Amino acid sequence: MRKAVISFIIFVFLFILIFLLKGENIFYTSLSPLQRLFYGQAEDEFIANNLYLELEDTKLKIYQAENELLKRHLNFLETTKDNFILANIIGKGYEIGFDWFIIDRGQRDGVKNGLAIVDEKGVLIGTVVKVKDTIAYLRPIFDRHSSISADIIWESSQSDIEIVSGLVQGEYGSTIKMKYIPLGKAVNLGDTIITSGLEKNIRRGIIIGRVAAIDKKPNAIFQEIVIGPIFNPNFRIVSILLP
Amino acid sequence: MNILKFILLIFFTLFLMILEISWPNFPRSLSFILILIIVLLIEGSQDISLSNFKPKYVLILAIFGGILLDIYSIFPPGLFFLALLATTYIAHRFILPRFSLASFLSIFVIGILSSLVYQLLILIISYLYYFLNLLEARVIFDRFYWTIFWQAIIGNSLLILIFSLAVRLIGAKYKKLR
Repeated sequence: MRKAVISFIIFVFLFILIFLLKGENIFYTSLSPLQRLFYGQAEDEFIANNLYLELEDTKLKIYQAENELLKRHLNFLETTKDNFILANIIGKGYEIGFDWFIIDRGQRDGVKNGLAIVDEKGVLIGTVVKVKDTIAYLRPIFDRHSSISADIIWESSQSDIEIVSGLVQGEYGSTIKMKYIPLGKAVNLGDTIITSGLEKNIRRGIIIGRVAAIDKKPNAIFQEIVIGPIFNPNFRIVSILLP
Repeated sequence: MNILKFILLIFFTLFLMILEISWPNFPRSLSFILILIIVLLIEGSQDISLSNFKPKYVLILAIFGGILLDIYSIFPPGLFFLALLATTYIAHRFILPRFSLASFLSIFVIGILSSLVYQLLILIISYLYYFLNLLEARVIFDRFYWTIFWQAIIGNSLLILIFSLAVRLIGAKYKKLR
């Protein structure tokens, strides 16, 4: 009985130390380089030959690819004049229908809840949902619980620019749908979907995707749109857009 | 049990957690830490390969693994910690005693039951968090969710069977050498 009580007290103390007194930062700081290594290396080609020069050549190609990726990020961000932070994806998780990615920037770098995260082309990947001191959690737009206010822009037959608002939500697996679009609005395949600016901390005009399919059910008040995502599915370096 | 072996096992659990979180191609429905715990429970029982590995060490591993998973999860702390702790206790107290641990079919069934208990506990605790307003969204029971649910159970139980077999084979060879 006494042992059980002592064990219980130790566990409560550990819990408070790790989760309330930010002892988890020890794990974030010490494991982050290893996580970056695992997440970054897993998609590279396996080198069977151990020759030094071949390894060095591969490393140079990796740096070159990263350099190109960073240049594309900077090109987009210089054009839009956004304040941003670059971040690496160091992990991902899934449980009971919730998807998330872990990035290596946190509160200390200025990251806040609700910020938009984009890839190197400026396409929305997801939003920040939880922030710690040195890491943050990204909810991708294809997650079932992701919900972002968006607009569709298209040119009508009279050459007027039309805008209609709706809600972008994740569906089964990696499908993304835009819902609550009035039936009377004539949306076309290929129309661009952007963020509406109604979400706190997310500006208007970030591209989400294009209309891939239109779903009009009989007797329904609204139509639904399947969005063809155009973000890079193998994102490893992302930009967090600051407000 | 040798303290050095136990420390090595702690680091192994840490490595498994890093693999689970940071390997991009890791199958989303599997849980290496759950598999490790159930395999250790099965093989640590009397007269089987790891006979000096007592359940209390498995419990400590479950707590450590749960805390690690909680640190890197989007959920409020305690979800994986409580689920792993309760699964370990239920598996040790109620599931394992009802089966012959020598039979592979029994091990497969133990794997299915333990994985089922783990998934259900995670579901219940997440709903508890939702009702306590600690979680802003609840689980959506759609076709996709049930597909992943059953994939997780079958996948985890198959790996429990495979790793149990591997531990027994290695343990038997080690005893022969000694």
